[in-house]
Amino acid sequence: MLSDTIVAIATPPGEGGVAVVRMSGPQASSCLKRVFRARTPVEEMESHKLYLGRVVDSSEKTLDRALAVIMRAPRSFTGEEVVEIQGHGGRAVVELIVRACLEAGARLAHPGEFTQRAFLNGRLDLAQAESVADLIRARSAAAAGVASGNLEGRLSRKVTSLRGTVLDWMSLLEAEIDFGDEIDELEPADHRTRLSGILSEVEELLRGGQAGRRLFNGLVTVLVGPPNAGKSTFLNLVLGTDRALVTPVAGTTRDRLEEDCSLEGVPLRLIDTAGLRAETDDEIEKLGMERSRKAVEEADLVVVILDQSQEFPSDLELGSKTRPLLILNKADLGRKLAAKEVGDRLGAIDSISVSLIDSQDHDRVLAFLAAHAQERVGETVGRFSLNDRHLEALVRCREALHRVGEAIDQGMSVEFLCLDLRAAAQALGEIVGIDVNEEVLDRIFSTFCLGK
Amino acid sequence: MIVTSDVIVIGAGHAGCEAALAAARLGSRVVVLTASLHHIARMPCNPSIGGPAKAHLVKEVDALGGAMAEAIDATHIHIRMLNTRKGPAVHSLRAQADRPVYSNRVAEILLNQRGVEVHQDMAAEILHKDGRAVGVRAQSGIVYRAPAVVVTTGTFLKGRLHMGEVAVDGGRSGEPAAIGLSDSLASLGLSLGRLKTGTTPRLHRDSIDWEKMTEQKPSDEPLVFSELSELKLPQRQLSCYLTYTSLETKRIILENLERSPMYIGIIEGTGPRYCPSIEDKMVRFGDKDTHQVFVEPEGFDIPEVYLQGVSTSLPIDVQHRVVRSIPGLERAEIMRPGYAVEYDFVLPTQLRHTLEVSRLRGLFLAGQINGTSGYEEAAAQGLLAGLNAALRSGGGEPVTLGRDQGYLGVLIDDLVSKGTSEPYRMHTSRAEYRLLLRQDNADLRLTPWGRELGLVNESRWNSFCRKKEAVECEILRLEERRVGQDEAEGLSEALGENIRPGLSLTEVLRRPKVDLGPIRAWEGLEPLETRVGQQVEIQVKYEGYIKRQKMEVDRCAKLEHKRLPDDLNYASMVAVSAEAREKLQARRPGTVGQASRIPGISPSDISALLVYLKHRESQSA
Repeated sequence: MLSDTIVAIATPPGEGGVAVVRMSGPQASSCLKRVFRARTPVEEMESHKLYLGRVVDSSEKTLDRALAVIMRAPRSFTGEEVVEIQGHGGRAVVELIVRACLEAGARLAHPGEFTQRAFLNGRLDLAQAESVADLIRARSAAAAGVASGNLEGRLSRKVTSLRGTVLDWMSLLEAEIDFGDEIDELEPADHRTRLSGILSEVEELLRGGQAGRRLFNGLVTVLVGPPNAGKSTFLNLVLGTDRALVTPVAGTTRDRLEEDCSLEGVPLRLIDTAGLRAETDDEIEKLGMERSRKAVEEADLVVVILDQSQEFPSDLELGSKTRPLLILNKADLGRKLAAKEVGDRLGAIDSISVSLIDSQDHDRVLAFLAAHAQERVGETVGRFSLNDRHLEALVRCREALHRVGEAIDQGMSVEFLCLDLRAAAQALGEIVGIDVNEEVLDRIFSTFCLGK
Repeated sequence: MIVTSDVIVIGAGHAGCEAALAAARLGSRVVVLTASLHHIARMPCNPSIGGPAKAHLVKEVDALGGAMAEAIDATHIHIRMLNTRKGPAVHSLRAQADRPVYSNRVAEILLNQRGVEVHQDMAAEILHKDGRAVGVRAQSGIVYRAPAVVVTTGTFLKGRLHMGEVAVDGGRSGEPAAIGLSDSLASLGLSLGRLKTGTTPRLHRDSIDWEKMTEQKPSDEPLVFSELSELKLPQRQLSCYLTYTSLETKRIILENLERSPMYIGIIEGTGPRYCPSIEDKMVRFGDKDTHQVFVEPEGFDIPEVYLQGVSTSLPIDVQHRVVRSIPGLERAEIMRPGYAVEYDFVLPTQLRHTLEVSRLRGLFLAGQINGTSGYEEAAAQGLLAGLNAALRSGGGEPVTLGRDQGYLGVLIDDLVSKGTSEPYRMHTSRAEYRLLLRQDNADLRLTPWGRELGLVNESRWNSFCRKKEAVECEILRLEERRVGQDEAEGLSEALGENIRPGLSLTEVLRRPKVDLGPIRAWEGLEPLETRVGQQVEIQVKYEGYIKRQKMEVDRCAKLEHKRLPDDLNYASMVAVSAEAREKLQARRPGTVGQASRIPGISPSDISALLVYLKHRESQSA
């Protein structure tokens, strides 16, 4: 059933220096033979070596000069025979090469089909296959590092070992039930010790994975401050564009703006809020401010920007839990606010005084933000990430473990503990594909893009 | 000479008896062949029935109209409930049988069953034609003809008994082995394996110093296996006793290991891990200085006493020294030494879930021949094999039981999907839906199914319906009855609990320390029949867990029951590992669930298989 050969463009759309067309399947090299002319005949090409030649169509017309490489089965990403043709960039030419491959007998791949084949051929486990999709979507170097941590099986190893711990405990309980006469029973205290050990590992996985997840989706960074304090200027500085409309009229930024960017390897999702003012008659602005408050609550990082030449805005409220970064802008216009006093009042973790219209301050303020973003993301290098599916399974595992705790507290006998321990082990098993679940398979392979 | 019937059962052990009885209940004419008319339903090992998971099987056999439960209820000398400190799902009834009396009781049921003829004859060859079983040729020369044959030969196939350096052919102590039938099965193309099991020395009651051991009294509450048995205390019961092996025991055994046929390689068959010989225990658990020994009488009127935990094949002189090194047995006399038996079994992966041999329609196997150990495991398989033989013989389709329906379903699926490399014993941990498969609800799970198939007679069915209705009525009543404002105080006092007004009685009963009896007493109602009351309590108290487990069954059902089409070409599935492809091609499991349990088939093989199936569906759509 997997006897056909698939083809797709493997490089992202758009003009680039090089474009790669990838084929996988038993006829990959025979397709290459029909579209590629080089000094070395295709059947004599060595595996994993590049050969220079011409790509031709069925009428032997040259389409492009290109490099071709054959990766013979099973030493390839998919485990099948894989051929890559590296041509010059240029959409039209690349599409002609794909068409030539199609005419030579390949068929167009579905999204994720290369990875799916790698999975089917046992080259990757489920978590690894998923992390390929994550790797493709990764938007920054740090995020890519985390995704490749998954690809190397870091997540799989941790989860597999945790599942083993759960199963070990279960096997002791099972023995108690079936060989009650011959076996010493565990005390409730033993159960609690084991449970809390496992729970804290699950919590750690969740925490570590969520840090990795931040790297994926971007650290949600919310800009807050009174109108015209310079939020949009700051935003544009970080983004390096004129995305936000900047005028000297207070309240220009009515709705929140969201922008993704990467600052020194940390992906940020910057959200510029409508200014937080307690009173306004403008209905639309009211709505905007409501949304701003919500954004602050859910943010990973809150940046407060104030105009230090003005009085402290009396209506600025962040809520007691928020610990923002403080940027005191417009240093050139004189100081009415003292950094220490305002910082204490807002519960700020750090502050900086700048003048954003002065380009000499730009590097300072960017470094300030970058340092805190790095810290927030934490020691994520060498970590793994959790996607929605992992997260859901881990949370389900944690719930099951909490039920085990309740059962211990209620003095339920061990077979009831086993019920929820089994559910916990199952949730972990789903993450690494030990417990097979059809929906999971579908979800995983539908998140891929073409050519991977 | 030719004898014709609908079903032939070879063997009259626990599997054979239930097989013959089940087929006969469906109206089949059954011929049972046994090497001796006096050896029906014998208990060559521990004369005990029940225990964790095994009791569950006995209750399931009973729920389907079998004889085992009723027979043990009538003939035991000691009964108690195990695991009582745990929840109802693992409560397990265990009884010591009066060994000869039990066998006689089952023989009586078998011999009196309408439609069953028992012949003393040794089966020598399975007769078949065009891929169908057609009968059996016996050593007597008689040809027995029937479209369905059930083979339940226990440990008799090429049986060989070992005791120290001495080895003789035999199926059990003092009984000849069945030599020819093994070759007949092999000539059908069936692969056979070799297993070993053992038994312990039997001691004379009067030579034992009971004072030195811990007495284990039987239950002082009425306990029975069968739904049809009357719940009453037996007139008389005997105690069992507990003692321990000594350091001296350990020394004697370790010094004489080279005289154990197990350890010098004379025995090739694999022994049961869960019932190890005393030699095995000393070697494998070398850090343990003592092991438990249960001293159990074998009957009211016979002097034999069984030594549970001292199964051995050491030479008789060593057995004497071993026994006498155990406190309380210093002067014990061995009436019959322990021995090991090695025997052929048919690799059960060659069977369908109906217990029919895949390659020969009409041939069914049940009991130890399938690699199991234990009377209960044998009886349960026998019942299903007999039922299916009757269905096959009558032109109907054989039936199967799922893992969520009974321990019998688990047992058969384990054997057929996973196979076994040691004598297979049932444990509750083998059942993933243990909280649903309780011994207390075996009838609720299986009796309606049995009734539909014709296994359950009118009187059992009526009694079942009465019980079921009474349970449902009471649960409904408790749900609807709420504690009134003026009642809360009185009820709180009656139960010793703080009960708020407005609670339903179900909510009250769900509290850990509350029983149904005091609630009904407070209401001024008579106590319910014990079985009904217990069932109500269990269903109400564990409702949350039971519901969750049912949801789990539903969640897994999709994959469990996903059909694998007969025309799948596994060999072409390059993405499935070579080992898995080979096994799938050879076994052709019916569902994804069954495939997933075949050893050597990994989760990623199953994932790949699913993606193939999806691919195939989308192509044919």
